[in-house]
Amino acid sequence: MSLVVWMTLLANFAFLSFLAIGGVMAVAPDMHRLVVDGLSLVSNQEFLAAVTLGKLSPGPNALFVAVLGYQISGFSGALLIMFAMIVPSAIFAFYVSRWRHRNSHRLSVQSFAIGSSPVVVGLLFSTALILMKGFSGISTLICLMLVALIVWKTRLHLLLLMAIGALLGVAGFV
Amino acid sequence: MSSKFFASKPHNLSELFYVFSLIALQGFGGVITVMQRMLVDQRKWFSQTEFLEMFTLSQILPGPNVCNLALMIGDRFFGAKGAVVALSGMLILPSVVILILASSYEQVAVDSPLLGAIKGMSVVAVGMTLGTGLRLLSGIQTAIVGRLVPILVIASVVYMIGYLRLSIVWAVLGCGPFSYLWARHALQSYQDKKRSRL
Repeated sequence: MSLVVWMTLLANFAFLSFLAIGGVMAVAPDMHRLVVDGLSLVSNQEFLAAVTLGKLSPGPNALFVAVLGYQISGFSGALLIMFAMIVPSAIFAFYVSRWRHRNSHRLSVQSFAIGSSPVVVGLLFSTALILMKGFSGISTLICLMLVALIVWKTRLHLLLLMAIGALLGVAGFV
Repeated sequence: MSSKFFASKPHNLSELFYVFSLIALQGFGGVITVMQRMLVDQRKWFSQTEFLEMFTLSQILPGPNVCNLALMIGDRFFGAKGAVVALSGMLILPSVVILILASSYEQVAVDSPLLGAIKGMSVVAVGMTLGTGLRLLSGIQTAIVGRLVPILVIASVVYMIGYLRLSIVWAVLGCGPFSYLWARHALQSYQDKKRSRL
């Protein structure tokens, strides 16, 4: 792979990470356009496999870009693409967070924190709602609601919930 | 809010790394659920409100949001070093796991019990996201802003994104300013009331 392609790829990923408000999955369509349609570095199947692995594997969803990097050029590709995706926006977040903390006595900063929290809770609900539309069947929805209730009201171990979910999935119940 | 009292905090950088690795490795389909559990409920590093405040900022800032959150938390306890360590904890072990999976994916892709398991786990993950949203409700400062406006804001965001399918950016720009102005107004009168009581 030529240096020019690498630079294009990394610059685009760094740029996309600055557009990823509300999570990396928000810019997944743009990544698809870049690496599948534009630069033809991975196939459509490979891209979908990367997204699936990102869901299957523990950790931040953003790690699916590591799989893309791996598909493109092995471990070094994974490292480079993760660096481009995470470091520039992380540096930005670091300074904004420090600025906010230093100015947390200001009325505007406090109002911002208080005022944006319902927006963010709304974003979480919306994410759940959109993903829920991908499921069908009443038993699936009941399980989903039960999980929400358990997470909300109890401290049952989350891995236990995941394991039960996996078993129900294997059994074909959800 | 500005006077920070930590009920408890990490003793050193290795504890920070350990905790964030543990959070990341348990985070199937939603790291934020595990993080809230671990940092607020179990280790009590933050109150629900403090956590929601940081989570809010991390969501609004660009970039992978749980990574942003990790580095903010690390920075709060140990400065820039803490930020790097918390972020590394979030990324190192999980990327080893995902790359091992990636290099053996072809063999497992056609395996149908695994596909069933993934489906079951994704149902649980969505339920967890919903449950985390419900849990974070208690971090909203209703003593200051009341209940009605936050409920309206949440409902509008859900309506705009969930039903109208608008992009997150529009929902944030559409509801954020209103929520901000209300919070500013409410906070001001709250502080005035407090002052006149003294």
